[in-house]
Amino acid sequence: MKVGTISNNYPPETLGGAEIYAKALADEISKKQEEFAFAGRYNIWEYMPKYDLSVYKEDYWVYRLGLASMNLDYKAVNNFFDPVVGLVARNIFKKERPDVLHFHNLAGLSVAPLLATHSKVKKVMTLHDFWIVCPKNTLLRKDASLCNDILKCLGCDVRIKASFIPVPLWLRHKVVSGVLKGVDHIISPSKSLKNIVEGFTDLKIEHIPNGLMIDDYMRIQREEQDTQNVLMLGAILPHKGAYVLLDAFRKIHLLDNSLRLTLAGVTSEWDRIKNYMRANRLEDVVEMVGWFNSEKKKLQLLEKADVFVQPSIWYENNPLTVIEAMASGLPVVGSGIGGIPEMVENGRTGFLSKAGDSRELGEKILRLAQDRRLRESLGRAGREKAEKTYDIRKHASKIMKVYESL
Amino acid sequence: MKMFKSVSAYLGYIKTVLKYAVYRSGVDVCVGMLSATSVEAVPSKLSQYEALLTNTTSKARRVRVTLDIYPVDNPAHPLRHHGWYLVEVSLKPHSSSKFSISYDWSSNIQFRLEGKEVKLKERWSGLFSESGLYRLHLRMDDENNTLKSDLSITQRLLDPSMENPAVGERVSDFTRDWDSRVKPVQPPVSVPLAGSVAAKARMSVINAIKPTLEAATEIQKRQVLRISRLLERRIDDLQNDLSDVKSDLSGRLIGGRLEALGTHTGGTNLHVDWLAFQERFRGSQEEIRKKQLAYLGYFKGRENVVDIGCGRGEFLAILRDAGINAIGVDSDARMVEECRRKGLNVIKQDGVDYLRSLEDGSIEGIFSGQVVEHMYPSELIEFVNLAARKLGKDGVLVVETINPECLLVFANSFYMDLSHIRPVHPETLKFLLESAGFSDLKLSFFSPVAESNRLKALESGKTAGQNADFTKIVNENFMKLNEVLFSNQDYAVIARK
Repeated sequence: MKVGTISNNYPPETLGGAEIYAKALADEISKKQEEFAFAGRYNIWEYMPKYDLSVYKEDYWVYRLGLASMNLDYKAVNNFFDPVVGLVARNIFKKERPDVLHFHNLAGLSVAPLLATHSKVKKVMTLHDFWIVCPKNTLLRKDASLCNDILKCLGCDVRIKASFIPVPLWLRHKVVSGVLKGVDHIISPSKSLKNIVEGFTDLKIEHIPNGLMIDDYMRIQREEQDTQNVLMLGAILPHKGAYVLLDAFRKIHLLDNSLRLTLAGVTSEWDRIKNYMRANRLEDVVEMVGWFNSEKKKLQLLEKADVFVQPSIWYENNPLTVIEAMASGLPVVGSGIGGIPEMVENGRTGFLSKAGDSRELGEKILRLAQDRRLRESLGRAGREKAEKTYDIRKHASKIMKVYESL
Repeated sequence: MKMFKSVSAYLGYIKTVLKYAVYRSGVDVCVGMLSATSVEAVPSKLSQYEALLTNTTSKARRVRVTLDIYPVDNPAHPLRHHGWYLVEVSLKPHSSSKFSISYDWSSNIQFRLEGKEVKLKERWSGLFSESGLYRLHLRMDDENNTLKSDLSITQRLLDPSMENPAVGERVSDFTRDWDSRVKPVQPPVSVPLAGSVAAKARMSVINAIKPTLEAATEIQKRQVLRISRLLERRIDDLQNDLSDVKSDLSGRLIGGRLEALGTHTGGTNLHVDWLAFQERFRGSQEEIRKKQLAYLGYFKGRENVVDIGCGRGEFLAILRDAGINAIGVDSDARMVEECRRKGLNVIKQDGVDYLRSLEDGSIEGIFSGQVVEHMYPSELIEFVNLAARKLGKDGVLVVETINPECLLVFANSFYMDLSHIRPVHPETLKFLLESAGFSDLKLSFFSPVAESNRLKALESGKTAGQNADFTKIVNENFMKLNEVLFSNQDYAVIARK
């Protein structure tokens, strides 16, 4: 059996956790099956893509198509349908002759690769966000409430434009849902995502939680430190709750001056966060690490941390960072939104707080920071859960069963 | 023009569609991947970059790989260009080779293909390495010099450390302030292929003026930095000048009390030979020596005695002969010269200043003969207080000065010396010394007016027609007058701590 992994991006360059998961799964499957991957490569400094293909081989061949910020712009038609990507995919599929194609995030790469092969090739798709129903991925309105009418995009001001011909929103939904009808099996890593998407469409979705290579994280040993380090890992952006966390931290670091906060990850809000820190005198206690491309650094950060925070205000799906934190024995304070309550059991592997409520978030962080025994017991329970539920080997065998059943 | 541009973009898109639909162009050799280990690079610290070079054909291929580094905004060759490096490598068929680059952003660069070092074929180093965003562009050409593939990543180069840390700190503070005030022009996030004409026109205007604006801002920023550095240097120079002037001025005030007095009174220096003056009017050194021998008793068995205003060094000589370790201080250069000629240990300085420079409680005795009448009241008070502080336990202070209770001195010696400021009354001096913390004060008067100069008493019965009572009364009155007019010309206070 030959499996093709199609994702909008692929490590080492990543936009989010979906790509890391896609590669982890492809790596695991390539140990037993033939494998190839097709993904985009984004030049965010230019608007028009060059569509230059590059290829490399590590354990299997990876095809990367040069795209640009137009493909990531949800107002452009190429974000959901790009014929060139379809043509390139057709050439690659003809050469590689896959039996199964596994699609991940398609924002930017568009749904065109789904049409680039005949119906004998089985198609599996894993959802990572709301892109198939919402051009902005998050299904959040400007006031952070959940959208209930995906065709009107009220309060979002989404208008899709192509060259010369504006594409109405209903056409986008028609194209996307029409193409998705050809997918044989749709997987959602969280029940919350499954329920919301099923509510909008008539797709059948199966719930299989994400998996991750957790061996390195399981080995982490933590030593007692003078300061309690709070860690947020991932994109440091408003919809991930960066400002909620900063607000919470502004309040609690006055109560306990041994608290430190580390914000690690890519951010476009660097200046705004720095200004916020300067205005609230948080410069000494908050560290911004920025984007890094090193597994070692991530392990170091997790080893140094005492509390892990996932303060998202959007409907998180199945965040990999929470799996990493749980596997490395950290108690997790997460917002009770989307797929996070399915991962963090309140009081057993961490605490849940209301999304966007900085006061409650601060209280939970403070409670964990001041109670070492509680931290350790929650962390131990988290490790057990990660080993049981999120191990990539168990996960890959589940996915292989899906492939074989088609 | 705008219309033409969007049409050409549209045609370019159709061309790409056709290229992939009709020709089905594949890949033979390419740069598969390029990544950096960190988002920021630090000058003079090695940064690591990884790339994968792919050859999908069935033959080994020789390619030229160029790493080109230039700032993202406004790159211009060669002024605003960091440099480029060229290597030649051969790629194995049907595989990707790991190509790693380590570079310290100045001169050290190393290329490795599958762990083996690759020799640099050509290089060009520009001078531009200011902090900011840089693009690292890896380009691959085949044997025929046709471009096969290129990839680029963007990295932020951090500030190199400044030469002068103090200045660097101030300058970086300044730039931080500047950065917070000047908002950078945001690059356009989205330009739809066909949008409203107004939006396109706006974008085009922004795009047209952006480089000019940025260049202007850059120039201004650099000018402001240069000016601030110049100002800092100027301020340092002025501060140095000021401290020079200060030390010069204080040197004149302290070192030349008499000369300063000269300038104070007439605006010109008097240039009086005070040595010759003393020789003539104060009396010969031998006389003074005889007079001052009386004080030796108070200093017997002591070390570290200071003679403030030592003059010609008569008392210093007495102390030396008695085997007492002493040092003299005088502000007149000729006096100091005279003392040194005699082999005495003398410093040319103002007495009060010299005392101030000593450690508290470090001396055992102070002698000051005919000095306090040269002092202003404020100086006198300071001198007394300093003496009390600098003298150790059981230290002794001897102050000799003109006795104003004897009115003859005003007709005689006091006004002879132009540098005399005011006489000090014995009771005043006593009170000052007591206030400063001295106890066991003793006043002693000496240098009486010669008997020949005093009013003579009548001898009773010598003059005819006068009774003894008259003679007695006249003689008592003469005595009183003698007391006031012709008593002792000098006095000394001996004070112990």
